Amino acid sequence: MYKGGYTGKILRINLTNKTSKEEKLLPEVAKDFIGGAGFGIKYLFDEVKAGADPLGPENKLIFAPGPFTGTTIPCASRMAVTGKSPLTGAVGMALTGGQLPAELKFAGWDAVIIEGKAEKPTYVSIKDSAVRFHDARSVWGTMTGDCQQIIKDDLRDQNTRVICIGPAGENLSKIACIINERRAPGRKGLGAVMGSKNLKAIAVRGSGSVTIASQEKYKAGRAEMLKAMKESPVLYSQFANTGTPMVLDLTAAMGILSAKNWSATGEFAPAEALGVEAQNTRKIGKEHCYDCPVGCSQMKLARSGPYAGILTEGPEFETLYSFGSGTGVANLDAVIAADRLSDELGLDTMSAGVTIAFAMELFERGILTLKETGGLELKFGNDQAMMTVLHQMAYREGIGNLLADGTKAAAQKIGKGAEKYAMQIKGLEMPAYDVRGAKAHGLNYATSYTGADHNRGYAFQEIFGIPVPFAVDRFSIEGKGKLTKWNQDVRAATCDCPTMCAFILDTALPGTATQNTATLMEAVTGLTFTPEEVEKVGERLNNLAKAFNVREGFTRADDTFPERLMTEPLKAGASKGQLISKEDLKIMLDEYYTVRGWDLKKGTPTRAKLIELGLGYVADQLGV
Amino acid sequence: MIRVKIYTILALKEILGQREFEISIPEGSTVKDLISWMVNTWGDKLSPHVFYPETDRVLPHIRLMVNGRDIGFLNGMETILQDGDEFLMVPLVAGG
Repeated sequence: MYKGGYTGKILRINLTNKTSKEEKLLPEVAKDFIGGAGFGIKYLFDEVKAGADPLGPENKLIFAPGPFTGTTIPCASRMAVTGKSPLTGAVGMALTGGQLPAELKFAGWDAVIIEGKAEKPTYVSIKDSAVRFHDARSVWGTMTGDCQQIIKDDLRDQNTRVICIGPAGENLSKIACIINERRAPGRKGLGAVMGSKNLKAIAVRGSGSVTIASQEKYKAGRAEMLKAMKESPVLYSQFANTGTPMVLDLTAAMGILSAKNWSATGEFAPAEALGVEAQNTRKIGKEHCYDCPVGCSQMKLARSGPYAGILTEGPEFETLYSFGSGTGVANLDAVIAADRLSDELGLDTMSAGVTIAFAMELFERGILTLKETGGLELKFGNDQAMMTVLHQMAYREGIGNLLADGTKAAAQKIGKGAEKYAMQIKGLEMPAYDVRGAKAHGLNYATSYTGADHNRGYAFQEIFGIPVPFAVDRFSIEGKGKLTKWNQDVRAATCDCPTMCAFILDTALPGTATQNTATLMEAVTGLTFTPEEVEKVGERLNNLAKAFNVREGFTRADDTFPERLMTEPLKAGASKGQLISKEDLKIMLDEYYTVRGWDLKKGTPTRAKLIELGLGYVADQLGV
Repeated sequence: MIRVKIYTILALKEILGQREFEISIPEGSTVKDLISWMVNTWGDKLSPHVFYPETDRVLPHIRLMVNGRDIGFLNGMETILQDGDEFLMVPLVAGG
């Protein structure tokens, strides 16, 4: 049925009754949603009913690579994991790289849908079309690194790829992540969803390959993409050597590296301690995802104090913020150790660090005391207290139990005005960029269907100064609604669905991403798209995801910021004086909903827009 | 004379030797004047990283900001610097 790219097969695994079955990938789903996050959100909307308990058997997890995954298109070994987020109650979608996404395609699957709940701890192995359910008691309680190795040994196959949870997921921490190799579909608490299903891991081994529809078009399209990558002034010359930490140097210079729970941005900017030069003193090697010629991921070894000898893959920029500038810890070895510990425990480094920073601010303000912290001096900069709390969060011990479900839940339990210091949107902790100095980036945080998520509509125009589709003043609110829609739709259609590493979009394809996707879709799958039709896939995804959230009760009022962003101007640095006032946010949201063709008052998709996108049945469900 | 802070990062910082430092320049100096001063000071070590060969046209991936704002939204290379201004020169960065 499919000429290439797709296997045409979806694997549905029911943990309750230990069954699995093969289903066909419907052609209209492939054409309308491409793959990856598109498939995830389509199945989530269609199969998880409104009001479902995210940690109940009725929630589902959809593991979906894309049609490019497993081919030799560079940087395409990505996979989306989608479910209803226990952290936000909204769509939970996170992507991962590494080797496993390609392996899943080699095993013959366009997506794997996990449903139900196992009676006791279980891991599932998928070897091509063979699915087996294994007793996971021997790995329950293990850290993620050991878990992966034990399962490989158990299956007597060192080339099996394993995706699993750590103790945090088992203990249903709502900021638990999932880990494959040393990478993670990290955010939105999807590790807790696995834990709630008693699913410790999925092991994948495939012996097949991905068919290409037109070798001639494929060679030409791939060569063109590789040429664009080679011509990038930053990709191989800089980024391949430094990885994401170079963004720390940049954001510190621009005065938008969030610090001390967003209370000291511009004042505390530890670029010397955590930036690229410091990273180079700890770098011992690099890692590549499957068939990636760049290899941006860096192996780092802590070399001082109590952290000496700890090795990690990373820390990426966001983790340098969450465990570094965000917590006031200007100690790279501590951040390396926290990164490794989070991966092993199966905690999202971002939400974990931001939650600890939140607790530190509460402690400094006297809202939390030594009584609640169990005697820990939980002040900004106390790296050892940070490590202790991190461990406690995964096991729900001490103050860790209060913090294990993120800032929003903790603030509600603490009271005493703590909510004001919870840096989250829709329950998801804020990424590194202090968006008071990057307004479109902020509008994306406010409107992203997953909550405060920089990856759903990254404003590279503001952060990197790339003038595509047009140049913008990062301090201005003008035109930011239109820009945010473009960023969200293009990112979804060209990265999250096919799938493709987003770093390539920024560095090599900023003006040609939709054409690149259209060219490669035809070459790989035989499905033809215009660049405009590619962008439309992104718009469809963003509308369907928004519709899921609307069905769960989200409204325009949820598209907002923590109070601090709207009332406290930045006090120092290159963005001094900037904030996004409530009126600024209102103006940007009005523009955003208008260009999206949504109901201005409610901030929700209209019937006309949904019908235009072929989502009439969604309009019926929403009653619009 | 006015005081202006120069701030740069990564490869450009390696050339200039410091992440940030202050200099004194004549009142009424523009961004163009400041760049000329920098080229005169660091010469061929800096020029190939900032300009097209044999020209004074700044490479498209070099970003210039005054007080955090891209000079394209000020008066470009003719932007007049004020006492206490912060001038930021950064190469293209990726990741995030």
